[in-house]
Amino acid sequence: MSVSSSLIHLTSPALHSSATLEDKLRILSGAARYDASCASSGSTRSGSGLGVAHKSGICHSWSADGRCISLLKVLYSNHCRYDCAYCLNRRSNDHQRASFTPDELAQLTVDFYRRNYIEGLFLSSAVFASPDDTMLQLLEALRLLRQKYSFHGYVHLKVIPGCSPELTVQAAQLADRMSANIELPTGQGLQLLAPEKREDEILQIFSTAGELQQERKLPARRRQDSVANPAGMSTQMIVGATPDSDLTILKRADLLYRGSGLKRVYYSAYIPVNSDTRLPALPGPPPLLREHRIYQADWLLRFYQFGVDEILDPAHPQLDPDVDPKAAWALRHLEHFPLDVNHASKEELLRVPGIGVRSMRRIISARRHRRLQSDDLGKLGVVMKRARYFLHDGRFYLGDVPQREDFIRNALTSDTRKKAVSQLSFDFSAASEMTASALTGEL
Amino acid sequence: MILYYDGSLDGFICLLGHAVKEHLPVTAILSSKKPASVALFEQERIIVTDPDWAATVAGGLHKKLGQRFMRELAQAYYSEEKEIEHDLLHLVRRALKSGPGVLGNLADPLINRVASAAQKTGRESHRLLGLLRFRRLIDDSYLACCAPRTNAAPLTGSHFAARFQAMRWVILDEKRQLGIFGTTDGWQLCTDVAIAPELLQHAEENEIATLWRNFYHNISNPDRFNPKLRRQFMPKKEWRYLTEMQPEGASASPSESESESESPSPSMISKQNESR
Repeated sequence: MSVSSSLIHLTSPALHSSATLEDKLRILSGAARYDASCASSGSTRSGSGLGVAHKSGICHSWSADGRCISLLKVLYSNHCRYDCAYCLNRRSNDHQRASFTPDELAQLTVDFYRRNYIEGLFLSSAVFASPDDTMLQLLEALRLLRQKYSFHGYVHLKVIPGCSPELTVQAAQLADRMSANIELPTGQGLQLLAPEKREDEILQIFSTAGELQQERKLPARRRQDSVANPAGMSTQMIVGATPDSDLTILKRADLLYRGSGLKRVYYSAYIPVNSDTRLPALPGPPPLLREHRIYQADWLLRFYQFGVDEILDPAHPQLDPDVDPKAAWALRHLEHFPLDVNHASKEELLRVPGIGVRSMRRIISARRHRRLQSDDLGKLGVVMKRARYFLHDGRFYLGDVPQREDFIRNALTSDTRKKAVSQLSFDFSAASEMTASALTGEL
Repeated sequence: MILYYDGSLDGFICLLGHAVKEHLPVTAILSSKKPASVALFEQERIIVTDPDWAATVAGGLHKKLGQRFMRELAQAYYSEEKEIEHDLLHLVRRALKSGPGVLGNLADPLINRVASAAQKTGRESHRLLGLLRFRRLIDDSYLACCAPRTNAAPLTGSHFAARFQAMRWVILDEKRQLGIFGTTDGWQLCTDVAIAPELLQHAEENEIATLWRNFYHNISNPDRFNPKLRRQFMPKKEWRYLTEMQPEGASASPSESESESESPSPSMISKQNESR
């Protein structure tokens, strides 16, 4: 790496801005709101000084859009060289530009952290100089935070695509989690909407981070130094900007989880912020229900041992908007049900709509002591209004309609339909695992 | 037999010790802080809190029943659910007979009550980790006020002691007059913490709070505006203590704010009756 420091200062956008800290924060947090990631979990960093990371993550607040706030999520700068069709910060947009200085950013993070407003910092940036120079500035801010301010809280760093792998490796030492947004499930889509962003550059970041992860699996004495990037890598895909099907999106996500070893894929319902002929004109509100169903399917991939081909197939490439993907699977496979709640295996129980990882564990534990009956299951956290159609207790079927697809589907949707009418957006209470996970800082 | 104790965790542990060791036929457990109507012809006994005896009993239970059981016991106790003491005594007796595995019998009504009480406290203490808001005071210490439904504040002590190592901080449970005082080497719990009326914030406090509100409003995506979802995660009753939910300048000057949101300084808080 041979970028002279004088060059950094020449290209530092801070020199061109005279905005107050309040203005900068307004502009640069407003520009960061399109990143869905908010997790602060997966790291156990600690040390003498200020802050520790919390293994399961902590939500500190919820903003008016109902999303959790865990980190001070800001761009370092919104001066951008690129002109991506979907992006608010693209070069051709005429709006206020601003940049933090490394010290301002570190001081702000520490001030917020001491008041328990946040778990740490989420730092992203527009690409104001060459990718390497931009990245160097971000690293300088993080180094200041870690070293001068002895900060051991959580740091999420967005890696600038196209920066050299050495800088990614350096970043991994400073950050708890890194991410790079793949934006679209196919390279062609990216080519169309973000011609200056290259898929191979993003995949390069994943592979560099993946190698670091391999190193972590070595025994401690063969590891080079402290754990790099302990919470792993994440990415984000836009839903609804291109005609890609849910199947294409989930296949890509699955490949990222299994192939590239990513920890999380976030999905973001497409919101048009620019008028551009390459972008679809959406008549209605952002596709939030579609985004929600994709998240549910993502949960099935990560925690419920489902394969993509079980959730969707080329004949049915879109998720069912009326029922969640697990219920949709169960309705297609009624031959597996009803299950005996007192004898079904762990894996079988996880496939029952209305039973999550926690309630499955409670069932397994409780049934060692006594036979479970219908009344017990609600107390164990099973969502009976969905689970009852798929269970029996050894003597009785727990549902109140015949075991037929049309009857059960009707019973499952009658409740959610009523809600959908009274509410323009969708209903989150339908996803108990989502509520629980929000407590832990995930999603 | 009705047992009375002083309402503290130490007192309750002493009570457990006496009840188990002496096989007392307990019909009710009452905290003597609250005046109780006494049934005629019932035997009564007042349990005296002895910290040394409490430590011995807790050590013995820990050895027999394990860490997980003790944590469940403390969390369920701190839930302050009605008659939870009585349930916990039964639970301890059962666990001593058949091992700490009884906790897994979640379909059993007693175990289920205890487990959900413990879960209630555990959940609230985790929420406090995120929702407590500290303010910097003029003496350079940081103060967070709260009024949790369960007695969850003490469970957050070690969390904040680890992250705020070099700071002096206080968490004040206004409902129970409990203070958790963080020092450079750990934390301690104090009861009967009183608040002095005239308190001063650090000069930078307003500015930082304003920056935070600024961030809070700008990070929300107006195209996804969904206040119902926000209330689901963060009910309105919790907004009282949240800096970001106060109108601009409200928590700014303590002299103008209501006595409830008054900001006491640790140096101005009188500590009495130190325990632990």
